Amino acid sequence: MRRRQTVEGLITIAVLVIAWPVLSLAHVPYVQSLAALIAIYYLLAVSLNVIMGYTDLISFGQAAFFGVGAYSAVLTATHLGAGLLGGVLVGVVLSAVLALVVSSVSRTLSGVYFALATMAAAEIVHIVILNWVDLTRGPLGLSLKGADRVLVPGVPLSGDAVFQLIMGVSIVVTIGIFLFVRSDTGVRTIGVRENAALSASIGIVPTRQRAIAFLISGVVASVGGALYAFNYGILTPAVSSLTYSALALLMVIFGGKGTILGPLVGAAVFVVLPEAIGLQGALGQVAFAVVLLIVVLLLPRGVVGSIATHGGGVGGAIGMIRARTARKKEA
Amino acid sequence: MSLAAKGLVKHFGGVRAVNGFDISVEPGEIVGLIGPNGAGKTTSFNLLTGLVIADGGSVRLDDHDLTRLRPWGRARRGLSRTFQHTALFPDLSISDNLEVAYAASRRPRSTRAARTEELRELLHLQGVDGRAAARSLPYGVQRRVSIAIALAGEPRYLLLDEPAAGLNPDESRELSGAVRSIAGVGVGVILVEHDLELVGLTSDRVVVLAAGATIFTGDFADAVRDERVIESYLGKRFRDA
Amino acid sequence: MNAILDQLANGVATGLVYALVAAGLSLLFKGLDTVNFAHGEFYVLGGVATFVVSVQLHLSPWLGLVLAMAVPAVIAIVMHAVLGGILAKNPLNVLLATFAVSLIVSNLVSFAYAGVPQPVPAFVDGALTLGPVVLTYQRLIAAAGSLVAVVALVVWLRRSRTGRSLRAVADNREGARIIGIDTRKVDRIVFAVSGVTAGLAGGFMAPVTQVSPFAGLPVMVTAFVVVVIGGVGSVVGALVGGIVLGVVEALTVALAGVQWSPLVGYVLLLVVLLFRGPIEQLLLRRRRVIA
Repeated sequence: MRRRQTVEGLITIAVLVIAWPVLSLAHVPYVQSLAALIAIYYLLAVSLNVIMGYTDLISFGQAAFFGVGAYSAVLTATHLGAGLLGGVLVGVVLSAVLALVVSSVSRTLSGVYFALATMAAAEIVHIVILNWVDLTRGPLGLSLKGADRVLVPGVPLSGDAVFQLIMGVSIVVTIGIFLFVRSDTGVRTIGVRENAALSASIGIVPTRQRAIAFLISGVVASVGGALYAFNYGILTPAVSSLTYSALALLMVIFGGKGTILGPLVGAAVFVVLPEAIGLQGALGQVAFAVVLLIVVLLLPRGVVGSIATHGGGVGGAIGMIRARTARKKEA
Repeated sequence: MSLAAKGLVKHFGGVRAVNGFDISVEPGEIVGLIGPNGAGKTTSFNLLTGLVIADGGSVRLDDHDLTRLRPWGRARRGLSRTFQHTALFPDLSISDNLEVAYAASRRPRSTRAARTEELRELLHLQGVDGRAAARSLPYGVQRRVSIAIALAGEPRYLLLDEPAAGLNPDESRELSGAVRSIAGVGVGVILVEHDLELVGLTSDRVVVLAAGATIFTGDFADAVRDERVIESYLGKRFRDA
Repeated sequence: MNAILDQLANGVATGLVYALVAAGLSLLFKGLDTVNFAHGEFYVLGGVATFVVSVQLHLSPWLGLVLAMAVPAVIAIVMHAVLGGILAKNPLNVLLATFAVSLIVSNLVSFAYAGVPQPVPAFVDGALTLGPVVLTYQRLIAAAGSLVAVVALVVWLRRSRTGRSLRAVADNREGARIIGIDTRKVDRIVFAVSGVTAGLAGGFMAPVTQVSPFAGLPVMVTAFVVVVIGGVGSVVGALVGGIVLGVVEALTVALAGVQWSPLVGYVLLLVVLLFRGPIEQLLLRRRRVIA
């Protein structure tokens, strides 16, 4: 477990660390904007991965944290002039509270019920954002005025500067997750995932570990939302809608939950593919959903997860087929 | 200094599953908990470990009152248990299984390797590959690994839930030896078992449970001759035989 | 006051339809221990079928109801065939898989009709006026039809052999298998029933709410709320839960405005999920102890 994690972690960090200066110096705006979106979606995917990969829970509500982070950032910057830093702080605090509330619910709920509770909670957040017109302007959305686009009052942020921030944050988050997974807290959380009853009997408090995971998840998604808002300068309630929660699910499952590289692979694929194929709108969603279905049915560990377990290439594919036929015989 | 349950009571809906369960064990002692089927052993066990919270009575560990604590609270104060259906972290390697246990008990990292060596010796796990996935190991080995997990945090008292289930006579005898070694280093052990021979061989003392209440506590040899015990296992007909 | 009475009456009518949609989901949840995220799509497809038959083919909308039951049933059976394998292994994977199916169906419907909700003419025009209460005949048909369907379902479950097999499997899967019940076949039937009931409800409601491609997930969550309120596996419970939800929603609309009504289901779901445990505990403690 340890060695695989180290390899994956190093690869992920390497990709980000190399991409950063390359993209900054190449000055190809189109590619840079794509990379920015990948990084933001990567943060969203990482946030869900912490829950789905390291706890025994599913969350259909990441969009709530993402949306809260985005709206907090814009509203704080616009009304308080506090800039990105202030906006992130407010978003993080709100998301942390939301995360604690949602995770405390997991004590009495399990599996299916919990999944639906997350969906309900997220939809409540979405509906409130949509209908609290006085604060959020509802469906019209918000936009960030040039004057408010600052890091802190007096430090303006150019589009390029935002890009640097996004890349920097991505690397920091990756390192953070890597350290978390290897720490005792992370190991305890994984213990709860693997066998909650056994974990409880050796002194681990399941709800506490889940709460910690949710907290990390909420904070990361919230930061992602704030960066999204500052990157594009405009915002609609759609960022807190089920679509983004679904996107997070797609990226994590495709890439492989519980892996470190998986969310990055997932994010890259789901940003680049629509651009490459040009499938937008409803048919694009159908394509995504078909991919999700195929992955759930055939590759439950995701792309990176399958490679990690069976190895890549033809040998890996054969290994996987062998394992599946063996399991079928057992059943 | 002891782990002691006094007068534990538990009802489920309208049924009184446990109605007066008493047991105590001292450090280094091995107490066997036996009783006929349906006596309430499982529930009593769960009352001791905190999986189920008692409706009445008390559980004390040394100076601590455990009665209202959930399993993790009891574990943090020095009570550990194993599970009837071997509980491991099946997809993790043995080393990682122990890592979780060390993380759970917040053991300083520098002492972990030494503790692993101690546990390997205590439970005859020297030859086993630490990197093998737990689920791939033979059943008997899995059993011993699960006991190692329970012992990783150096508990003062260990509750073993039918540890011999599914083991052949040789493995049972090895297990008996391992339990004696564990008591030998000062752990107080309560052993719930159906295999009466194993209980007689291993325990210093037995407690007999029938109809949710403790009906006897004392030597194994005396227990098998006690009227009430015979009656509970075989019925009135055999009591006077 | 008058407005509230009117809302209440309509709320009960809507609630009966909710009950029909929820009944199938309840049986599915009890029998297979997992939820079908695409359940709401059966409802949408029922509406689409009615639309196709009455608007595009110019045939009787009652005929549309037949198709509204048949098409979702077929899709449900196909879903069971494909997903049956992973069902046993991992209920959470089923959630994800059915979620994917839900996205596929809703977006295909959206694509087919260019995303615009489609109006369907009422089976019978006009409305019934009782003092302040105005109930369109379509709503009455939907409500009455749903009630009849739910009652028929209860009778079928209690009297027919298949119905009893279904209840046996839901109650104790292993036991049912041991006495020779073909559990896979029963699962298939439960899936089909869930498709039929949700599709029928969708067919009834198409003239009332228009066929909207993305109504599926909200409908599914509504059904789930009803299932949780009424008790998993209980069709009668679904009836009670449906009416409760319909009434609460109606009151919310009357008192707070229609834009907040989607919130009701979600909030009620969280409330019930969170407080069901303590409420049950409170009730259990009251019972007398039998030594």
